[in-house]
Amino acid sequence: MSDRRRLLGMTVGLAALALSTGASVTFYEESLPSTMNPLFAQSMVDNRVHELVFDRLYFHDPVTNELTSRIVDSYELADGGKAVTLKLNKSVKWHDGSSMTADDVCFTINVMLDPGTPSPIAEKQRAIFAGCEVVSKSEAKVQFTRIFHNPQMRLGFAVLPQHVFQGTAITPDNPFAQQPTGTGPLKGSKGRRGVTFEKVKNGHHDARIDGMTLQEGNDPLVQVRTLVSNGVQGIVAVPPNYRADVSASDELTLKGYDLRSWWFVAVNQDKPYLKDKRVRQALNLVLDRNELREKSIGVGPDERNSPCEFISGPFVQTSPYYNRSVEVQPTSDLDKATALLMSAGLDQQGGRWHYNGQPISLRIGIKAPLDNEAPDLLSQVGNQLGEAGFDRQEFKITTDDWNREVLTGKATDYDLIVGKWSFGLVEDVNPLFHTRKDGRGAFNIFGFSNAQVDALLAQYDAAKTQTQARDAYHKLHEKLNDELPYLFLWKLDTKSAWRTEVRSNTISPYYYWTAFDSWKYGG
Amino acid sequence: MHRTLQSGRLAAALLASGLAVACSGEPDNGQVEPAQAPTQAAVEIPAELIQGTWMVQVAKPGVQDELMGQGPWQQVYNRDYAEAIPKAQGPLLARLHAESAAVYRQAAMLQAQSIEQTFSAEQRRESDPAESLVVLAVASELRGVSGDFSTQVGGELGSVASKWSSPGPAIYPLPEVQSGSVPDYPSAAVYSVKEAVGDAQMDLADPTATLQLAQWHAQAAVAADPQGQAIADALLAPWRLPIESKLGEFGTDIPAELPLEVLFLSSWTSPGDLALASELAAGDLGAVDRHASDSLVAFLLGPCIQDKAVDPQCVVDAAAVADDPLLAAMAAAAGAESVDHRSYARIAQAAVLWGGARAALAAGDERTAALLRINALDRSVDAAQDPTHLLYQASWDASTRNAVRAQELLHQQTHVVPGMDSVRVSLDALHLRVSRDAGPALPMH
Repeated sequence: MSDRRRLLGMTVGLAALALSTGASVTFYEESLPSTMNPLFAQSMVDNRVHELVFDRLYFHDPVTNELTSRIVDSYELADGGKAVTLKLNKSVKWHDGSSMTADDVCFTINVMLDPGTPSPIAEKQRAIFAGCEVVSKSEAKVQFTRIFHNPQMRLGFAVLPQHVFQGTAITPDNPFAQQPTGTGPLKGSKGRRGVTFEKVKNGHHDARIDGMTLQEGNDPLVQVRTLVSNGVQGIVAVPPNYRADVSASDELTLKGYDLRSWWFVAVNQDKPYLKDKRVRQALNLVLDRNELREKSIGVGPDERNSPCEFISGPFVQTSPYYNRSVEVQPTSDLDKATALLMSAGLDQQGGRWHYNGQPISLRIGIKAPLDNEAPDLLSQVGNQLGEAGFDRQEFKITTDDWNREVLTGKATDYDLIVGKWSFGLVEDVNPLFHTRKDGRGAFNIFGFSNAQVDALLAQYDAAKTQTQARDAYHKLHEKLNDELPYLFLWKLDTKSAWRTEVRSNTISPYYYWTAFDSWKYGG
Repeated sequence: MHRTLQSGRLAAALLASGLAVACSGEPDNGQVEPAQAPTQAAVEIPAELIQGTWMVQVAKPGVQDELMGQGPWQQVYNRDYAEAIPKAQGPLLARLHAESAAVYRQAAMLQAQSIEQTFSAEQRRESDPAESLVVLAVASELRGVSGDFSTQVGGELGSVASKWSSPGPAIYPLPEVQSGSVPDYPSAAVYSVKEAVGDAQMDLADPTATLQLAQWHAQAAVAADPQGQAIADALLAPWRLPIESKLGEFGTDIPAELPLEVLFLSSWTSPGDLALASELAAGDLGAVDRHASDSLVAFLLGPCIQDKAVDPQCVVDAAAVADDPLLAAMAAAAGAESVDHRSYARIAQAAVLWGGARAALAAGDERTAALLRINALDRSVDAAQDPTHLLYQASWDASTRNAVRAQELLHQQTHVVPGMDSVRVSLDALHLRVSRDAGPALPMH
């Protein structure tokens, strides 16, 4: 042992030199972020980018899962548990050099409480926060609407700088969304082709990488080849088809990224030929998920612990909300599908399905980056529908159009849209399926509306115990599997690839960059 | 298509022998600057250590083919114990029962940690049924803390409480121990009880049944082969539960040699690794030095431990380069490279990281241990997926309220032995509790 330890000391200098460079790193993301303002985050790309630029008040340490904070030194319960008083870290500065104070914490809460801030997440926070009082420059008292267990867990929002805004009503088009000021390890600036990040040394951050560049990844083969040639140093999401290549390379490391994502085909029930649920049930039976998965993701039907697992409702199978009594539909059943279509009044002429004497032609869209993650999925879905007797047209929807048209419920031209939703610890699916009204159903793609579904979603919201909440979602799962506003496909694991020169790169669940300060390049 | 055990061998040049262990000397702790200057070392692994690994032994001509002809190795590769056990015999059968016992031990611990994090005084809710105090008391016992069985509850769980107060937790009837068979999980161990608020029925799973299955398989391992006792002692020593000092189970002696079928495809490159893990599990960091001559993992960890502190980046680097000399030695032994060799080397990589995590724990550094376990998880793919280690990680995750990752890890093991769906009941309750405490979040595209 002592000989080995003696050897350890011999090359100290060399490694130290190599590790001290702090150079810049470039990586591929699924797309560009839609906004740099955390109040209006819509995608996982948005969330990840915000983690580099901002600090959340409290966060879970990605290594130990301890709930901790970089900007709160201590806290104590107040008002009989309906408030917490936060003592702030006085060394925290905004990227423009101003000090972060209790004014900023209370400003952020007031922004969320302001009905003039049209943010879906702020809408949810209004049920949590009652107000905020600036006790002193470094002390804020956050008031809750009621007593919560583990109240620090409610304080996971990013803090905004009061001094760069005119008031508490903030809209998505505020210039802050392009050129934000945060307190995170990097200052970010969004351009048309990417996002550049620059290290900002702070009292609570001192990143070891000086700069980062986010580029939009397109063809996954090009991404992997560029990574191998050191043109970029990382890929946030590597499609399953390419993971073996990454694993086989001594220069690359495949890293797990804990993210719960499930895929779906949303069905537009405003189309007269899709209104009858028997038609939607028939479409569900037309899809051969085994074949779709094998052809687009490369996973065989009996593969155990595969990265891709079928689902029968709006949760991943590992979720306690997943109703395991509702079976998945791995294969097609064209005879049953045909019977359902005919009972719904559709008829086949010349092998093509018709409604009221007119041939049905389905417009199918997919969020474009998903066709990279599951290559050719759009065509495969189209082929299966075509073989079952439906004419179709296929479209790739840009991320911008997705945000502008699909999320807002305006993509009514489409009959079917292939998409993916991602979740962290919380799996609130109410925004997806509630009738769009009074701020509810914010992400209801095709305006699905069902009174029984709304009632179950309300039961979930009103649940006083965890079992009541679970029961409400189990019933919801069953109901949605019958109504089929979505044809549920699968959950797909996410894996990243990084060059081995990028070291100490712990990827945090969901937020990805929480431990960025420890990342380093070189050595 | 299940994971497939490759048997093809590729003709290729032999790799150079020798290992360069690169140690940065920097703790990868996410926050803290390194306490010492980065270091780097070039270390030759003694040939006898490499030659003593099962990886090199099975690479010798004919050895793997002979093994493959004697047992259900495809099922072993898939870690499908329920399928493999009825088809195995001799030392392999003893091994499979012992590994099943280890899986159930970690599953029981996973349940215990989940229950503790859900129903302990700090986390209790007024809606929690009184019966939850019974499973909480059982969980305490499993964690090595005396459980409080004084709560008066009726029904079957009341009966469980009274039986735990007498020696031995044999509460759920299991079939007589018979090597080569696999008992089902006793469904009676999952209870549906009314919450104290409202009418909803909460599920509670009693980890006693999981512990009983662990004991059952341990006994089956002993009965499976004349060497059964030694094999069970060796394979179960690293996985002792705190409660076992009360139950008086199993010795801790690890034989210097074990049959190849006991180690092939396992996370233990040699019997020395088992001894190392066993002693580290008992908190003895000195085991790393003592086993440097009989454990590849100990040898590689040695330079990464200074002043009773484990350097995580050094361990990560050691694991990353550990496969080169193994690949070279396997190729030399076989006469050619094989696709199997790379799979086997990956198992060794994961073994180094799991060993490093154990050493960090023995050194009292839970953060470094957690970091190395995360790295081990990244390496735990295909043949390197060891269900006991993965459930060990899930158990840690439950103890730190990381229910999401624990769920993922447990879900991957549902095929391994019967009853994992019932184990999930305890974790589901924790998951629900933690997620409902969290602030609001929206679905993201």
